[in-house]
Amino acid sequence: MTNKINILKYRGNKSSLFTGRTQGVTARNELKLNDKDKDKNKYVFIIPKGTTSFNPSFFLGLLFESIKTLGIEEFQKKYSFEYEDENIEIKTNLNDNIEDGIRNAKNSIQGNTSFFNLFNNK
Amino acid sequence: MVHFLLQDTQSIFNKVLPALIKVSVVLILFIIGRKFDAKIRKEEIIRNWYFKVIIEPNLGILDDFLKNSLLSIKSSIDVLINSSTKMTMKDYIKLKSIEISKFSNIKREFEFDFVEIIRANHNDIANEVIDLLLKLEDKVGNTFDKDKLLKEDSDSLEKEVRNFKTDLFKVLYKPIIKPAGNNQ
Repeated sequence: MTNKINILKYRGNKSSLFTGRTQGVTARNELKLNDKDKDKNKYVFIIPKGTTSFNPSFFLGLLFESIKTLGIEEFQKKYSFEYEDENIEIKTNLNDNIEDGIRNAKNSIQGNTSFFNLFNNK
Repeated sequence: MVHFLLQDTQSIFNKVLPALIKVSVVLILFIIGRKFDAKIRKEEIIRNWYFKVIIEPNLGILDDFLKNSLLSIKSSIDVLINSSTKMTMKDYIKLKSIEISKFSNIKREFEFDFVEIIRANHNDIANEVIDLLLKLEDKVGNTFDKDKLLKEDSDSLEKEVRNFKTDLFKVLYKPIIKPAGNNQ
């Protein structure tokens, strides 16, 4: 079953952006995403019309723990995004923002590689 | 006869034991010293690698990022100020999204060209740099989103970019002053 999650109220008063890791965490807690991570449902975040940017800071506050818990593949199967705005350029920008967020989350979770591990016999 | 043999053995043992103890202590201290030297050498190699191979050759990329950020921010603010009264709200939203994304693109390039090189050996430092970049990105986006954008906003963002540079160098300097081995 796929459920829609409307996040307009977390965009900030008179704002056209989603910013701030703290704000993302607040949204995460209010939306009870820790519980949603454990259930078998799929969810679609609806990014409201009039949004100019979905900054990676907000994305990480909202969804870093979900990516850490589920792993990137399961996360992408469970959670997706829809854009209310029909403008192609805005959709492209928002999609780039989300990709930035996912990349930052993945990189943050991974450990050190190569040179350091060589010197520490890993 | 047995008694004399035992006495001789004990006598030899009493003479040899102190020397054995002295030699053992010297040997143990030598081994500990060598291990300690090896650890220091390893930390020095990692620190030199970090500075000479990762940071120093890529300072030009950092300079380019700061320069391009300032140029992009100034240009975007000029565009938004000049367009704010000439467009419909719908078109202005689209323009704002485009201008915000210009800075995001510059930031993204900097991540790939600089931050990911650091990440190869210092994941914690790379994460701290990303945190600084995300905060700067938020400040740029929130400024562009103001109801009434002014030319002075360009100056205030310029200060934010310069503050970012200061904070960035504080972060980049950490592996040089702290021992290697705490980089997870």
